[in-house]
Amino acid sequence: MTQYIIKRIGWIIFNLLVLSLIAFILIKNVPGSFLELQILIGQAGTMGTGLTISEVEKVRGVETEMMKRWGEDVPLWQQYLTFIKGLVTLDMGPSFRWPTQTIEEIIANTFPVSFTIAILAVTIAIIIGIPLGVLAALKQNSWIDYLVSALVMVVSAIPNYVMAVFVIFLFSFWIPILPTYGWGQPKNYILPVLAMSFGPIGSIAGYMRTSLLDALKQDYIRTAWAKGGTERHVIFGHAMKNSLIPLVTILGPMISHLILGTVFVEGMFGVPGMGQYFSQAAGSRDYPLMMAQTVIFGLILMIMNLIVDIIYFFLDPRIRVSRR
Amino acid sequence: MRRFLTIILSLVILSSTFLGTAYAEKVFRWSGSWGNTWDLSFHQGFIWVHMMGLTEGLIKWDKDMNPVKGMAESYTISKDGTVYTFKIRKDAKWSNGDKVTAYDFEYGIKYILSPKNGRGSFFGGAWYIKNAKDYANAVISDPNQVGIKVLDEYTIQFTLDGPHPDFLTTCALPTLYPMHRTSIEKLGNKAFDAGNLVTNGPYKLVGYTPNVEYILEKNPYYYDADKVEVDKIVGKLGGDPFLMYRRNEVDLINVGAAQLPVIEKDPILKKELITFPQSTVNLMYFSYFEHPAFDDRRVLTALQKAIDKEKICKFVYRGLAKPAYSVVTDLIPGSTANDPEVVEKFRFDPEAARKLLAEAGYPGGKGFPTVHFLIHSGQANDPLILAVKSEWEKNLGIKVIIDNYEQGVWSVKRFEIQSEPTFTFSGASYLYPDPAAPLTLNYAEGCLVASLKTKDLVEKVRLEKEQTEALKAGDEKKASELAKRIHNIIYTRSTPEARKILSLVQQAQRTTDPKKRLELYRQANKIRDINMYSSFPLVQPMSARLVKSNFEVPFNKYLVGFPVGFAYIRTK
Amino acid sequence: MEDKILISVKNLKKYFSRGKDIVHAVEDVSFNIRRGETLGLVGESGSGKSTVARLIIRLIDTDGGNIIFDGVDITTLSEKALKPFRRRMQIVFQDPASSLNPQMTVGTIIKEQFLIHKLGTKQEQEKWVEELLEKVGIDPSFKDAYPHEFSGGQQQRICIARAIALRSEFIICDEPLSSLDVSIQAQIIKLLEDLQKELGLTYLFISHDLAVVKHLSDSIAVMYLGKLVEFSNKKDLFSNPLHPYTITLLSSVPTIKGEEKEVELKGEPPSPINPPEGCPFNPRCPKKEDICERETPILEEICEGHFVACHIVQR
Ligand SMILES: Nc1ncnc2c1ncn2[C@@H]1O[C@H](COP(=O)(O)OP(=O)(O)O)[C@@H](O)[C@H]1O
Ligand SMILES: [Mg+2]
Repeated sequence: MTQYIIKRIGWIIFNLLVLSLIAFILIKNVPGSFLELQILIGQAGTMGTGLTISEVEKVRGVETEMMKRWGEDVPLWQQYLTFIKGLVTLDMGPSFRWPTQTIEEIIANTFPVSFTIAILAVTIAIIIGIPLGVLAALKQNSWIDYLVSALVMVVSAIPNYVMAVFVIFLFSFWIPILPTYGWGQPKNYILPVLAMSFGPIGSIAGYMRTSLLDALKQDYIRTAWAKGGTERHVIFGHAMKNSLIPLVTILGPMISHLILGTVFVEGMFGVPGMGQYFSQAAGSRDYPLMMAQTVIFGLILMIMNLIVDIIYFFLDPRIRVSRR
Repeated sequence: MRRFLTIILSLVILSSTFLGTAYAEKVFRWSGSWGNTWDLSFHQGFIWVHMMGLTEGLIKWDKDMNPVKGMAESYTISKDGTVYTFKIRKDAKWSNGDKVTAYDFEYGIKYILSPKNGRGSFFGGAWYIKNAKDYANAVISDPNQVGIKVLDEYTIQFTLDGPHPDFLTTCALPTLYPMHRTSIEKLGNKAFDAGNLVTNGPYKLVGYTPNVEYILEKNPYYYDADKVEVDKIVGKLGGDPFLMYRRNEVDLINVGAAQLPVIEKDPILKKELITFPQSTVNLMYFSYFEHPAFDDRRVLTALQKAIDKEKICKFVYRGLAKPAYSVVTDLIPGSTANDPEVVEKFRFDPEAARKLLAEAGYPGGKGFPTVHFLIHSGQANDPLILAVKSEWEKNLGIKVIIDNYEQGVWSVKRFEIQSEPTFTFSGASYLYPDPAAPLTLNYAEGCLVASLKTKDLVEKVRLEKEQTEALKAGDEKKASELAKRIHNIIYTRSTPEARKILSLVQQAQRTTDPKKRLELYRQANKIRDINMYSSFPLVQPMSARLVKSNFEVPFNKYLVGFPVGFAYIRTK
Repeated sequence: MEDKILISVKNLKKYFSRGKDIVHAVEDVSFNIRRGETLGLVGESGSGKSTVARLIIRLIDTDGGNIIFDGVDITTLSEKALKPFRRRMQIVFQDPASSLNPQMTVGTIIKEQFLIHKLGTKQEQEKWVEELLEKVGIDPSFKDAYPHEFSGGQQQRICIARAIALRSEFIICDEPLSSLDVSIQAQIIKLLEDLQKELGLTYLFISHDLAVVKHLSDSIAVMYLGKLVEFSNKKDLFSNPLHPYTITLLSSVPTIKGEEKEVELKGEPPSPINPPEGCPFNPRCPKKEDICERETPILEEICEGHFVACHIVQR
């Protein structure tokens, strides 16, 4: 097992290198640059009449100086090596857009927040979603089942910013017990976590329902009934565990997605997570942040997959025990 | 049930207000600012928060936007208007108790100018200082050549490149701010973190969570601390402002046209709504393309006269804007935005517009080229752009295509030469009430460029691209030759009116007599408004704010409607 | 005692709803199985054999008819009242892989029923498990292995071990050989025979293949579209098949001599959703007459112990 994990980690590193190289090439070839966009902003703030072409041309004089500061005055391959070196030594320098924060600082400050929120949201989703799914499966084709299925559809279809407004109305206006915005106190976690958990509740409940229905059709379940097993025995002793295993596979991507894909919820509730930094990185051509984003994204995804595989390994004897 | 909830709701609100008064601390929470760093050398949102309360220049603006002495105790201006000497007040202190000296100003201004720091904030009076622009643009590298001189610990002198009466007012802007040298040299980037940032204004930064909020507290060392009423300022950087306001989590928010109907229906909100004009014009302007139709003044006039700005203001902006006929708002002294002649020339008149277009050879829009609107993703839902498109299509029978690009791609695309007539959209804001704020020398030179025929403009852009290439290749000779040719195009092929504007502005810059100066600018404005066609002013938006009734906030019409200063906020 | 009927099924009915349609899965099926004997239930796939099996062991509820087990009508017994009967009848499914919970070791799978029915001490249970495994030909030392570690044949042996663990008298084998290689099939048949001899088991042996049933069965029931079309002892059925369907089935059983097939079965079986009027076999019957399309034949005893549902034969 240890050997397997080491091998996998080796693969992750290799994949990250490939990924970052591809990303680097792509990023550097997208038209537009941070400076170009800054001129745009500066211009809007001051002259902005569109007649300031000569002004813009003059500003370009600074470009060389800035390129030097950002290490963009050397050939691309050298820039890439610098990036890799920065990655390895955890010294990736400042972001363009957040010039007084280094990439490492940004990640160190925001990752724990995003991670906690994501884990909490998934935990809630599991706590609510699994029983819902089980209920729907056990009462297949009853009104409960239809209700759950409708719920699953609704919450998966509604974007999380609508959910965000919904929970704000619910807990800040109708039952005014929580602030809509802010960070620092435990209560600040409640609304964002809630808003983020709806989608996962839907997918977990839906997934659980199908996978339990699937399990219940298996012959070993029939045998268990035939043996005189009780409901508790058959469903919880036999069906549940088997239907939970496939669920683990969707949790990995789900958590990665939540860690990285929470821009709106972060903005809405004032959560200082990664999403807001990253969502603006590409738009503002903040190359260091874009690169960091790519690597973090890849890393989280691959580590989640690894964790899922390890959990799978312990859960599923078919994988754990090799054929004799 | 509903009633029950209302009772609970009001109880909660009551108790919260009650609790609020139980504490002596006065807190003002607002939403509407943004930013990424507290380093003044970076041109981004937080420099305005510096201006509102963290850092104070030699001059500050009083609550009515008049320049008054800030860190300066007194000042003298040389007869020719080019040398400004400021004496700094002895009781000026940084938020850590250090005294504010002339060296801090020299350090700060040069820090902001330096191409090694930040990315320059290219506006305002810093440009007037001798050699400042060349230093900022890395043309010269010696900061000592910049016209800033410390005469003694409390005296600083600026030598300008000419008389600029608006220099005094711009001393209140963030390009001419002092910075705390010792902390920056000791801590580097960390000097700009909350708690480390040393400021000399009425407030200091005590808390900052990026993308979430910042917290300012009264600076006890501020010389005028007695007059600062609010103890704590909280700036919220996200969230849904309208929801936060209604939930009583903020005291001031910006509102848009979309929220007006809701506000109108609510008697309390209606009372708390404040609207005021903004020194901004939304406009559209040519990109680089070649087409004779767009050199024809009849066509250009027709295009402008075919836009019903009144209707757009009424329906698109719900009254939160007024028609603009000049790229310079009427909030700027010397503006001719309301000049009857200007207004009449471009007033909405579809009949006349069609006639002009027909005279130019495009009756009913027949034969007229397809017009492109080159917009970026941030403008994709801008109703103004859609309105202009439909006005043109409806009133002139011409075809408009909207090309929507991602912002970064757009920023490159808009400088490219287009194959078909293309417009882009933008807004122009002017930061302070002086005729020179919009009418800089650069701008006047820009007028020359803007008056070129489309094919000359395209030629100029081609040459500029060649020039850039030549410079990159290190071919100085070719580059300077190209520069000459560019210069030649600009000065020989531009219109006499444009050259007149330039000479008026040049003249105005040398004029110290305020009345004469204003008149010169007025003339320049009017010529531009009547004769310059490459940009079409559309509307002048208004700011709308909701302010809780227990606060009185003076607003700055020139700075996207921020409060003038936190120190001026009063509680009722 | 020997000749006593252990299980008797009377007019068994089961309908499933599939959307708006109704599937007539089992229609009026009746038969008896004597203790210690084997009834082979044969029919094409979809004819309702498994449904009969599931009805008998009360995995699903009947829509009519009775199941009498050892003299007791268990058709509508509550789960609690049924519990002692559950001990006495077991089922072995077609796919051993899906019949064994992949999460459990083989030992646990077998032991589970001792737990359900609260039998024996821990040590005894362990001992029984080992004995059972040994009995079905699995090395007891493998009791801590997981199902996937065994071959298909071994897995089916484990299923059989599980089925006989509670000393059940009646075991339903629902196509237990279908997923196994031919060479393994013979071994399993041998095992089932041995166990029947040793433990006096009664089997309901289901198959779509007459050849398989031939070895084991004492009597044979042929099912077509939810109905029994012929029921007889083995000898009579093979020597004197009466129903045209049985005849076609037999003709497709390869004989040692490789004789020519007499009749070919035409077309696909009609769907149980809209069973044909009259005799269910009439659309494919080579001897079809008018009456076959009008009236449904009922199962009648033609000679002693030989029942047929066919207008032609009955005449
Ligand atoms: N749970 C069920 N729901 C609906 N239809 C079913 C169900 N189980 C079996 N059927 C239908 O009943 C018919 C008989 O099925 P089955 O008893 O499995 O046949 P066999 O075992 O002979 O192949 C088939 O048409 C099948 O589709
Ligand atoms: Mg079957």
